Amino acid sequence: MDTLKEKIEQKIKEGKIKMKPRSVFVFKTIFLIAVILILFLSAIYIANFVLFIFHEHAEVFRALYISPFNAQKIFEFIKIIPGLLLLLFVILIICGFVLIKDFSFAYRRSRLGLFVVIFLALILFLISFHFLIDGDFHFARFGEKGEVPFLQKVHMYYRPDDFIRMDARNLPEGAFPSNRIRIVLPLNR
Amino acid sequence: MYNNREAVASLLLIIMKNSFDREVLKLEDEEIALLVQKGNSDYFELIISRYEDRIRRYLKKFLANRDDVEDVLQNIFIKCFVNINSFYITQKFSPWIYRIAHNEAINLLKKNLSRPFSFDIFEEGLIFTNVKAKEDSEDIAERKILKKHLDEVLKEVSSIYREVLTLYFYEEFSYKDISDILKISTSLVGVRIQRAKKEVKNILDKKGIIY
Repeated sequence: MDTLKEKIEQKIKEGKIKMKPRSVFVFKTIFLIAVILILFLSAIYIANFVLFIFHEHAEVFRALYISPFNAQKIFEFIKIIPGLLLLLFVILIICGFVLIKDFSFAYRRSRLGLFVVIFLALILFLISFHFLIDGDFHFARFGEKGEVPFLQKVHMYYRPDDFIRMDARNLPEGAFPSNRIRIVLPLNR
Repeated sequence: MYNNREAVASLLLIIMKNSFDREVLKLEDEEIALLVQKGNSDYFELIISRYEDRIRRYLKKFLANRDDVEDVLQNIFIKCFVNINSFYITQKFSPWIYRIAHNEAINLLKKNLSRPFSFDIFEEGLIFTNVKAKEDSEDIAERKILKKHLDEVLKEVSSIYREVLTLYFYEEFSYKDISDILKISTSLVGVRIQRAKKEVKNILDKKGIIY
C-alpha cells in the first residue's frame, strides 16, 4: 500500500497535480484590491449624494423648524431621508469589510475596532473632501446629465425636475410644503 | 585495483549524499517552500514528512477522529502543492499550511452539519471584554495541567473551541500564529482560549475529575 508521500509524489510526477503560477495569485490580489476600492468609492459617492440631497433640502429643515409640529411634519422629514441609499451605503461598507478581512493587517485587529475605523475614516474623508475639495458637490452630481444612465435615473428619482421649488421664507406662517413642493436653496442645475 | 576505485567512488557518493541530506534537513520550512516554488518539486516530500503527522493529529483532534481524516489529509497536501506560489517567504510556513488544513476541516464539517450562517463582525462580545492576549508564566503552568485532562474531554467541547484548544495545547502555536491560521485577531484568540478553558473545566467538574 502506497504511503501518502508516495501517492502525492506519484501524482506530481504524472502531472496530475500542478502548481498554479505566481501570476494567478498576484492578479487575484490586484482584483481583490480593485473590488475593495470600487466598493469604498461607491460608498463615498452614495454618502456624498445623500449629503447633497440634504443640502438641497436645507430649507425644508428650516420649514420643519418654523411650522407647527404635527404628523405631516414627521412624514415630510422621513420622506427626505433616502433610506434606500443609506442602506446601500451600509451594505457596501459591510461588503468591503468582509473582503478586507482577508488581509493580515485587517484580521489581526479586533473586528469591531476595524469596522469602526473604516466607518470613521470614510466619514472623515467625506467631510474633508466636501470642505477642502468639492464644496459644490460636483462629485455627487456626477451622472445627473446622463454620463451614466443608471445614475441619471437615481438623480431623477431623488431630485425630480417637475417639483416646484420655492424659498421657505416665502411660505405663509404655519404652512407646510405639500408633496409637489420641494423647497430648496437656489442651485444651478 | 578497479574494484577498489569503484568502492571508493561509491563511498564518496554515499558521503556526499549523506552530507547533502544533512544540509537539506537543516533547511527551514520557508526555504523548502521557496525551492519548491522554483520548480524543485522533489523537495515537497520534505514538507510532507515534516507535517504529515502533525496535521493528522490536528485533524483527528479537531474532527474528533472521523474516518475521512486520511482523505482530508491528502487534499491538504495537494492544495498545499497547487497553491504553494501564494506563500510569501516573509510569512511563516506552518501557520500557512495549517490555514489550508483549517479550511479543509471546516469545509468537511459544513458538508455534514447544517450550521446556521453567522456573520460574526461583533463576535463573542468583544465590545466590553478586556482580553490579555499574552501567554504568561501562569498560563504555561495551567497549560500543562489542562493538557493532562484534555484528551478525556476534548470530544465533548464545541468545535469552535476544540480547534483553538488543539492549536494551542497540542500544536503549541502562539496566539499570533493561531490568529494567522484562523484569520481572527489575537485578542479574539485570547477570548476563545479563555472560554474554551472554562468549558473544559466545567466538563471536568461535571465528571468529578480533579485537576
